[in-house]
Amino acid sequence: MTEELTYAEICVKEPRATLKFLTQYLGFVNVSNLYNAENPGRPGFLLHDKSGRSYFIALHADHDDYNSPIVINTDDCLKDYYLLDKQGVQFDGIPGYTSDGLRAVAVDNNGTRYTLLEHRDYNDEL
Amino acid sequence: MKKIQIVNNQNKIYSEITTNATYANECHEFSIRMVVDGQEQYKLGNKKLNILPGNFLVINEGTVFGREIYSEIPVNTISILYDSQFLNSFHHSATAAQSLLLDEPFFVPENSAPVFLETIYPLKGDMRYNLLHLQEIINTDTTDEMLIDQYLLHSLINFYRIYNKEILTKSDELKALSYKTRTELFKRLNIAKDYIISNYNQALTLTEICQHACLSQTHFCRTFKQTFHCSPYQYLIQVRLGQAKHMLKNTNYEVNEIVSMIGIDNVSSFIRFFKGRYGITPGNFRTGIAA
Repeated sequence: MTEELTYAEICVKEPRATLKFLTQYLGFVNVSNLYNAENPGRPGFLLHDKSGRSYFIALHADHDDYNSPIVINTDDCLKDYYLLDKQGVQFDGIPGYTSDGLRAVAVDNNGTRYTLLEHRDYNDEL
Repeated sequence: MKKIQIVNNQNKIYSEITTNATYANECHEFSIRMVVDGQEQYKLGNKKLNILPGNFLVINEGTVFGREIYSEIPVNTISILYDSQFLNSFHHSATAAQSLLLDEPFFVPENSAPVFLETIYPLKGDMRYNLLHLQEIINTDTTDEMLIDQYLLHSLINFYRIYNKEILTKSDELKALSYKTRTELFKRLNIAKDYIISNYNQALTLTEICQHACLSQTHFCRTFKQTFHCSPYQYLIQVRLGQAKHMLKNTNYEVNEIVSMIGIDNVSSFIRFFKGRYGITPGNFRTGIAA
């Protein structure tokens, strides 16, 4: 069986804090910690999202305190916003409408921003 | 099957699936009404409006109306009834000056209930996504009223945006006229538009539509195009194709059956119209969905 794997390399201030946020609040499951042979200093993680899709995420601290924007797709932004808000997650404002759909931006304690994006096709009439 | 959800601020959501129902002389709070599948007929005064998938209707507080469902297949409807205080507070916050909202945060003027044009609105964009999510949430039998409140609030936000686009902006297209004349003309054009939507599967004539709207043919054709940016005939075709698209997506009817149901004379004209509007043949559209 061939499994689709998404690779993402994310620069964050605190890799472990980001991993915790992804697993604790955003529904990711850390399947295994992986050894990154090319960059042993960068921890890699095999994560599954709520729908079972697999991601290999290499998290590493950036020397310039740069935080990659992290975009997480959701089927229902309002619901996720409400449920995360209820759990105490901080948001940068209320969900807002954009040309791509509805989005809400969660912020963790280290200032890393997680955009929850519900992509909406505005050309689809029915 | 009928389901009613009342949230703590007295907003109500009615979700109903039925093949046969008649309700006469109803009178409620301001409401937004949509049909997920099938169609529902409303009677507001002497107006008969058919609500189809892809449209929704708003009814103001205090309007007396009747509604009827009579169908071979189950009709799935959702109605949101907004508590007056909730609606007035939202309206005040959406329309009052920021300085007033800051100086008097708890002030809501008396008799400030907004009155909207009771017409058929297009259910598209964020409004459509939001109401479909609300339907999913209701179907899960959730008791989380604050979650439901989020959808109700955003439905109002979305409705105000649609109202601005479909009513305020479009009535401004008739800018050469005085406010009073413009309002009356816009109202009559909407009566015509509602008549086209409600009778899209009938053999409509221009004379019949004009008589219904109390407008002469030349006046009607000119002002309709000015307002809706297409001729009445093109508008009728758009409604028919929209319903055909819904049926292709959500039913197992054959293409020729759909053609006869939407009031188009023959299959080849339908395929030509469909491809012209959506850039794909009806058959390929259906295959693409199934794939």
